[in-house]
Amino acid sequence: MFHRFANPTRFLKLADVIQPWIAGATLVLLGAGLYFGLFASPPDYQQGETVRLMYIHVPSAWMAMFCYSALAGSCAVALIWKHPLADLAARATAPIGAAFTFLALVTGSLWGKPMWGTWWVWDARLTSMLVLLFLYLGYIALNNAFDDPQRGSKSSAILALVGFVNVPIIKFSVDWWNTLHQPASVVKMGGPSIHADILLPLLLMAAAFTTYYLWVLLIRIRTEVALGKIRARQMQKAQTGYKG
Amino acid sequence: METISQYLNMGGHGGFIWPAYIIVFVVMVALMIVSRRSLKNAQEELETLTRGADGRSPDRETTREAEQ
Repeated sequence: MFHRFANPTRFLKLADVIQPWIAGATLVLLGAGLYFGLFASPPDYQQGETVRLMYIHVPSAWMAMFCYSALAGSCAVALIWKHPLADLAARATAPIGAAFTFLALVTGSLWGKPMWGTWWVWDARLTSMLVLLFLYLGYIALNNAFDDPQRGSKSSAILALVGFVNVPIIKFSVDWWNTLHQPASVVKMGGPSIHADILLPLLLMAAAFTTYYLWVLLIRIRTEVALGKIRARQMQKAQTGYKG
Repeated sequence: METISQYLNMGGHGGFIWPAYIIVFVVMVALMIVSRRSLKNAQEELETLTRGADGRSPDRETTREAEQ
C-alpha cells in the first residue's frame, strides 16, 4: 500500500483529499489544547502556573525527535529503495523539525529560568537538543550545497542517518547522566505519572502539533513535486533550444 | 479587571509563560505562511512554463495536470 502512494501523482490526489481534514483537525485540537492548557487545568502542586509551559515545551521536543526519526527514515528509504517521494518527504520535513527543535530550546529556556534559576546549562539533555538543531541545519545546508540536486540529497541523507544516533541519546540522557532536567513522566515503563487534568491538555497539544506537522508536510511535499516538474521542464526546454 | 490581570500574571510567572506561547505561535504561523507562499510561487512558475511550452493560456485543469 505504501508503495502505491510513493508515486507522486497518486500522492498529490490523496493529499488534495486529506489536507482540509488535517487542517480542520489541527485547528480543533489546538483550540481544545489551549482551552484546557490555559484555562481549564489547575496549576501544578510543585511548579505552580509554570506547568503551562509544559503544554508547548514537551510537544515541541517530542515533535523535534519525531521529525528527525521521520527524516532519517525517509533518507534510508530514499538511499536504499530510491523511492521518489521519500527524498521529497525528507527535504520537506527538515525545516519543520528544525522549527520544533528551536521552539523546544526556547520554551525550555523560558521554563528553566523560573524553575532552575538559569536559562541554560551545558548538560546532556540540553546539549544533545542543541546538537539536534545543528543536525537539522547541517542537513538543510548540505542538501542545498550542490548544483546537482541528487548529489545534495545523497550527501545530506548520509549526514541525517549518521546523526540519528543522537535521538536515543536525547531520550535517555536524563537517565544516563546527572541533569537538572526532569526524567520522563509520560512515555515510560509503568505508564504516565501525571494527573489526568494535566495529561489531557498535554496530549491534546501533542496531537495538534502532530497534525500541524502533517499539514505543513503536505504543503511542502507538493511544493517539492512542483519544483521537480519545473526543473524537468527547464532541462527539456534547454535541450530543445540546444538542438534547435 | 483585577481577575484578568491576576490571570495574566500567572502567579508571578506571566513574564515567562506568555512570551513562550507568543514565540511558539509566531514560529508556527510564520512556517505555515512561508510554506504556502513557496507552494504558490512554484505553482505559478510551473503555470508560466506550461503556457510557454504549449503556446496557449492554461486553465486551472492544465496547471493541475502539469503539477502532477
